[in-house]
Amino acid sequence: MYVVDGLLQGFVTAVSPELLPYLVVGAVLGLIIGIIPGLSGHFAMAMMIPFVFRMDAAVGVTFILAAHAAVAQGGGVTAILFATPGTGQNAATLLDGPAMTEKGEAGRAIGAAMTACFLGAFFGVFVLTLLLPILRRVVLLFGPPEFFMLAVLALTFIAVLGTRGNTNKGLIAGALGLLFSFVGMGSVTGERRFTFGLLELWDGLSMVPVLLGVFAVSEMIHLWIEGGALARKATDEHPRALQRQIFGGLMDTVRRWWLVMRCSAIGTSMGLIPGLGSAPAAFVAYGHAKQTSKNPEKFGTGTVEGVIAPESANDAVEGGALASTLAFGIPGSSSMAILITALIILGVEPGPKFMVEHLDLVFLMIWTVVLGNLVGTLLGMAVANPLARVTFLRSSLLVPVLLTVILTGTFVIHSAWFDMIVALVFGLLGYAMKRLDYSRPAFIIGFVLGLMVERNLYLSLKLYGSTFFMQPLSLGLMLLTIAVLVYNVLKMVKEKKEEDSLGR
Amino acid sequence: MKELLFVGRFKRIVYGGLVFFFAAGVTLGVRTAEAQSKKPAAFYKGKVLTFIVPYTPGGGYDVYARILAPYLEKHTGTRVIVRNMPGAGGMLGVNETYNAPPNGLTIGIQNCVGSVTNQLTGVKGVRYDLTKFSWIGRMAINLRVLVMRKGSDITSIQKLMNAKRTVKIGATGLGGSTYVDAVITKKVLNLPTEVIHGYDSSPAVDLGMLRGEIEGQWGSYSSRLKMMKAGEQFAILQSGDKGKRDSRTPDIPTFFEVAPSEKGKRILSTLAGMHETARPIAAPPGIPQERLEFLQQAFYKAMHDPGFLEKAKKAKRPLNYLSGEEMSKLVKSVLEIPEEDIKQIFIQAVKGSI
Repeated sequence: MYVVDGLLQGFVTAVSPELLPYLVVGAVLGLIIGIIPGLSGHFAMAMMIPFVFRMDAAVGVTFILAAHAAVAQGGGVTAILFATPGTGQNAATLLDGPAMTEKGEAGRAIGAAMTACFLGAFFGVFVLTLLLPILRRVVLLFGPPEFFMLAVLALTFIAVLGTRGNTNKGLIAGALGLLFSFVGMGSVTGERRFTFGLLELWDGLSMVPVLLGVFAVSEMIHLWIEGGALARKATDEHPRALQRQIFGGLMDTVRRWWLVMRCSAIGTSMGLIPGLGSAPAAFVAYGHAKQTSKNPEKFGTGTVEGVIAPESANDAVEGGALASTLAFGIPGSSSMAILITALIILGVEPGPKFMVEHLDLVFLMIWTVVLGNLVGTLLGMAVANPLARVTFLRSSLLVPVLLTVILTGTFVIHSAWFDMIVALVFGLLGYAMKRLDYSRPAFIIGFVLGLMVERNLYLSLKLYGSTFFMQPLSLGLMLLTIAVLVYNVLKMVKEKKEEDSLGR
Repeated sequence: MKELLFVGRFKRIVYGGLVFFFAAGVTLGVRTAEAQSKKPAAFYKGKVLTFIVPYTPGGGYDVYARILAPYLEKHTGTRVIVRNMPGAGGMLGVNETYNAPPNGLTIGIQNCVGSVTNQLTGVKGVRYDLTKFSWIGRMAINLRVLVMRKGSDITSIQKLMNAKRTVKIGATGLGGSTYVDAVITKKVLNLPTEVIHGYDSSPAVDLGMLRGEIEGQWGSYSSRLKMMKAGEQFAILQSGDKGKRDSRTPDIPTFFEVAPSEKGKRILSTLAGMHETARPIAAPPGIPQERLEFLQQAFYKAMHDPGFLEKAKKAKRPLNYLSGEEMSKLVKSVLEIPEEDIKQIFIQAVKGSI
C-alpha cells in the first residue's frame, strides 16, 4: 500500500511550485544537450554538479535527473532530422529516422519517436515501482552468469540485422564489431591488444566517436556525394502539415503499444547490466522489432516501427539502471554514478539503506523521470518545426556545418584529437559498409557487447566453474537464446526454399 | 572547371594557413616576452589556467578538481578550465601534464598510485618522470581497507590468516589498485585468498559481495564507508597513515602489525607509500621558480579556504594537504626501492603473474 501512498506524495512534491521550475529548466537543458551531437546525459549531469551545492536535496535531484531524462528526446530529434545521433543512445534511430525524413515524413518520425521515448521511460519506471518491494532480490538475481547470457542473447540479433538474403554479410559485420571491441587493455589478461603502440588505444575505442563515425560521418559523406537535401520530398512546407504529421506519429506509436511494451521490456532488462548503457538496448530492440515484423524488408527504408522500437528501449533502460542505484546505492551506469555523487553532495547518503531512509526521494525520482520525459517529449515536438526547415537546405550548405558540429562533439567529451580521427576513420568504414550493404547495426552490437561477453564469461567460469549456466535464470536465458537461434535458422531455411521454388 | 575551382580552394587554404601561423607566431612571441617581465601575481591575473583531469567527468578525481577549481581561481586570479583527458588508465593525462609548455599555465591532478606503479615497473608509454614534476601539493591520501561481506565468518585478519578454506577476493582490472593491494598482501601475509579480477568497477564487486559470490575486496576507506555504515561490509585491515592506524579507523590493525617479517614490512611500506602519494597536483617540470611558489601558495590558500572545506565536507571528500616540497620528497622516497626483488614483486603484481 505504501507504494500508492508514496506515488501520490511524490507527484504532489514533483509538481509543487518549489520543484516544478527546476524540473522544467533541467529538462530544457537536457534537451539542448541531447540535440548537440556527441554530448550525452552523462555529460549533462557532470556539468550540473557544481550547481547543486547550494540546493536542497529534493531540488537538486529533480534538477539533475530531469536533465538526464530529457536528453534522449533531444538526441532523437537530431537523429531523425540530421542523420546524426544527438547522443550515443539514439544511434539505432538512424536506421529508419533519416530515411523517413527523406521521404518527407520527418514530422511523423519525430511524433512517433518522442511518444515512444515517453512511453518507454514510463514503462521502465512503472516496472521499477511495481518491483520496489522486492527490488533488492531482483537486482541480486543478476550476476556475471546472467549478464553473460543476456549479452549472448543480444548478440544473436546480429543474424537478424543483415538485409534479407545477406545473412553472411550481417555476420561478417558483427564479427568485425567484436574484433574492434577487443582493442585496448584486456580486463582479464591485462594484455594490450591491437594498440599499435598508441596510448590512446589502451582504454579501447570509445563508443561515441565510433557511433558518430559509423552512422553520422558516413551519412555526411553519402550526402555530400549524392547532393540534394536531407528531405528529398518537400511535399508540404506549411507548418500545420508538420504538426499534423507529428500527431499522426503519436497515434502510430500508441497504436503499436504491444511493440512499445516489448521493446521497453528489452530496454529495462538490459539496463540491469552494469556499465552497458542504452545504445545496445536500442539496437537489440530494433533487431527484435525487425525479427517479429511481418514486413522485415521494410526496415531500413523508413518504417515507423524502426523508429519506435529503439526510442522506446533507450529510455526504458533508465528503469533498469535506477534499480541497483535505488536498491543498494550501486550505480548501474556512468550517469547513475554521477547521480550518486550529486546525492552525496546534497547530503543524502545513497547506500543499501537508501530505500528505507529516503523513500520520499525514491518516489520523487520516479516522478522526475516521468515528468522530465514528458517535458522533453512535448518540447522535442515543439522544436521539431523550426529545426525541420533546415533539412530543406541543400547538402553543400548543410554538410560542412553538420560535420563541424559532429567532430566538435566527438572532441569535446575527452578533449582528444584522437577521437576526431577515430570518428573520421569509422566514417569511411561506415560509408563503405553502407554502400556494400554490410549491416552497421550488427557491427555496433558486436562492438558494444564484445567486452561484456568476455568479462562476464571469465568471471562466471572463475566463480562458478564450467557449469555456471546451470542456475535457473541463466539456464532460462540460455534456452531462450537457443530458441531464438533455432527460430531464425528455420525461418531462413524456409525463405531459401521459397526462393528456390520461385526461381524454378 | 571543377579542377580550377579545386586549385583556387587549395590556394586559399595555403594562404589562410600561412596567415594563421604568422599571427600565432607573433602572439606567442609577444606572450613570452611579456611573461618574463612580470611578477607572478600580475602574470597570472586574467590568464587561463588549464587543469587536466586524466579521467572522465563525474569520477572521483574529477569531483576533487571541480570542487577545487573555483578556489584556485580566487587565489590565483586566473580562470581555471578543467579538461578531462582520460586514456590509458589515467596515464595519457599525466603524460599530457608533464609535456605541457613549462609556463605555469597547465596543472594536472593525477592518481599517483598508478603513476608510481607505471614508472616503477617501466610500463611502455610512460612519458614522465615523477621525480621531475613541479609538485604543487597533495589533496588527499588513499586510506585503503580490506572489507569482508556481512555474515562472513572471517571477522578479523587473524581469522583470515588462519582460514582453512580459500577466500575469494574481488578486484577490477589487472594491475589496478584493488588488484595490486590484494595480491601484494596475499603474498606478504600468506593469505589463503583467491583474487578474482575482471569486474567492471568496484561497485560491481560490491554487487558480487551482496550476491555472495565474493567475500571481500580492497578499496579506499571513503568509497567503502556507505557499505560499512549500512552494515553490509566491515573492515579487517588497513593501509594506515605513515605506518600508524589512521584516526578514522582506530580499531582496525594496519598491515604492518601483522606482517610476519622485516622484508614483508618493507614491501608493504612501499605499497603504503604509494597510497600516501595518492591524489597530488603537479605542473610540468622546469616552470619558473617564482611561479611555482605562487601556485603552491595559492594551492595552500585554496585548500584551507573555509568555502572549499565546506564543499569538500559536503561532497564527503577527505582532505590531507601536503605541500609541494614534501610531496616531491615523498615521491622520491617511494620510488627508491632498495632491493631488486621487491621491485620484481611489484612488476609481477602489475602484470598479474603472482
